[in-house]
Amino acid sequence: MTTALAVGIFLVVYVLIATERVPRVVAVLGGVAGVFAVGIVGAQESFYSEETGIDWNVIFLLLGMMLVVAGLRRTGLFEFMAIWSAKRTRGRPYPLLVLLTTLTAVASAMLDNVTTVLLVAPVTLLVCSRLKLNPIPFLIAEVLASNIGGASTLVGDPPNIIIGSRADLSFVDFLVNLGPIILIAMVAFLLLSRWVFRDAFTYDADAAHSVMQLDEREAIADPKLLVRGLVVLVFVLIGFVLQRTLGIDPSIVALLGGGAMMLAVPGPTEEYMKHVEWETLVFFMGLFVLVGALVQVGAIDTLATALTDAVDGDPVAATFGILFGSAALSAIVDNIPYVATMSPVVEQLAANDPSLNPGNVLWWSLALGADLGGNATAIGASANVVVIGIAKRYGYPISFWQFTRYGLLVTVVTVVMCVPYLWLRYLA
Amino acid sequence: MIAEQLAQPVGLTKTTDSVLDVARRMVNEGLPAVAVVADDGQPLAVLPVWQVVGLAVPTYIKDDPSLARVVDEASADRLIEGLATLTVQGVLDDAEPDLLGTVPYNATLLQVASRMSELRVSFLVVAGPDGKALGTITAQAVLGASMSQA
Repeated sequence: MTTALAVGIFLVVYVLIATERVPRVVAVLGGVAGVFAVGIVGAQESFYSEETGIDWNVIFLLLGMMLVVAGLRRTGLFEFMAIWSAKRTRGRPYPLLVLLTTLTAVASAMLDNVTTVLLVAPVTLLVCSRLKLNPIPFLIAEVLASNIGGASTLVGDPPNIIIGSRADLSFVDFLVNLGPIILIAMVAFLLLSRWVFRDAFTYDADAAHSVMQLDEREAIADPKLLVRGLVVLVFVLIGFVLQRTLGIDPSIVALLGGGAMMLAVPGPTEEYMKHVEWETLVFFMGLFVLVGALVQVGAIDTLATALTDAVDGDPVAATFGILFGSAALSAIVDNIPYVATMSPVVEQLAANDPSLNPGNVLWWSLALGADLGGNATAIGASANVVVIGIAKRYGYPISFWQFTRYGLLVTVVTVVMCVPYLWLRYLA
Repeated sequence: MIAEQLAQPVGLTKTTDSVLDVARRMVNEGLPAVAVVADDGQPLAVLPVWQVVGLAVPTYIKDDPSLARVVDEASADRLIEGLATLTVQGVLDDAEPDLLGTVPYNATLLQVASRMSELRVSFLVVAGPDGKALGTITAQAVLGASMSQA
């Protein structure tokens, strides 16, 4: 009875999130109220347990990185780099798309995807308006690149943060295992973009001249602040790389970085707090409580056992089942709740039969499937939704199918490219 | 003194007017705002001059004000081009509904001043007994009237 109740509440919440009938944070908190009310979990299980409770490492890693980003955006660094890149292309559309999407992908590896696209979208509109180009292909390409680039590191995409914490995988683990395939996928994406967005690449010499009149140095409000912000960012990255050697958790690195950024790039506290996505943090906490309830009643264990039986000791079936299953499901539902649910399942699957998980391949397939699958549709990842909203406000509405037409193609290509990579590196 | 006595029949505009024309009137007549009225004369909204200036700023620069600095002077001077395609109705579609500042025709000077203070505006529409806009009152008119009574 308790199991049925926990699963029922979870499914209702999932449907509400997927259909967006109520704000996702309301759906999750409603579910949390449900599992508390019927006594499936209590404060002990939800707040203090490592097995069933809120993963505070994830929450504080997100919080710390949000503060780091809030400081960085005050420096004008991103605007400087975007305009500098645009001027290097001398207004030629395809090179411009290549540089802007590459910049977005690299930034997304260090910052969260939503923040990155929020930073790059206004600059893109400015440059495109100068070049008399339709900004829609550029915005779509940037968000796709953001989701691809974000997959390469621990902090690049929220699903990776959840996976890293659950599987105890470090920043370097992600970079070494996912970096190479993401680099290859990014190159393929850029080549594909030349063909997919070919209609957008019209060159106007006069318009190109006007881009050269932009002064990127003016984007930097205070060079001293920029230097300080960069120093903090470098230390945060060094902290992530040396996290194992130093024996500190990524969340502590991020929190130290967030605090240091507030000191190094001083500004009104409200300004920093404004850039912390409190709603996202509450959403994560609620998700962890709901998934914890499923762990508590044994539903996750049952699902993992069923999957273990289904793959019958075959790591190839397990790996590619998770890869393609995650890509398909992440295209339909937000990949954050999906990975929050699947992480304990994969953990149990690997524990039931360690031979299924050579080199943590199950975790890498989950990360790649969920992160790249988020590109498939307009609602697959938070960054997609954000960019579509921005484009509409700017007077360039992007329809669901317009986005999906490009996103689905890129997802299929990039996910299929993961197959030989995972097979050759971990399974052959 | 009541609002009706202070109301000036200036600064009224229709939803079909272009924002560029409204901006010209504001400049030529020195208006701090205009009142938007429907075809039947009912007041719909107040469009203050700061909002018209804001309309000339591209949305992407509102999102990232630091970009305003990177635009060269010659292009920045062409700010007004941003208003060319806008109509008053288009602005109202995106505007906050509580921007409408009206006072009834029989409101006292204190009520008018209180309403301006409450809404933090320097311009109000005076609505007649039938709800139609009679005219507009500026903050300067309120202060002037108050001084003449003192």
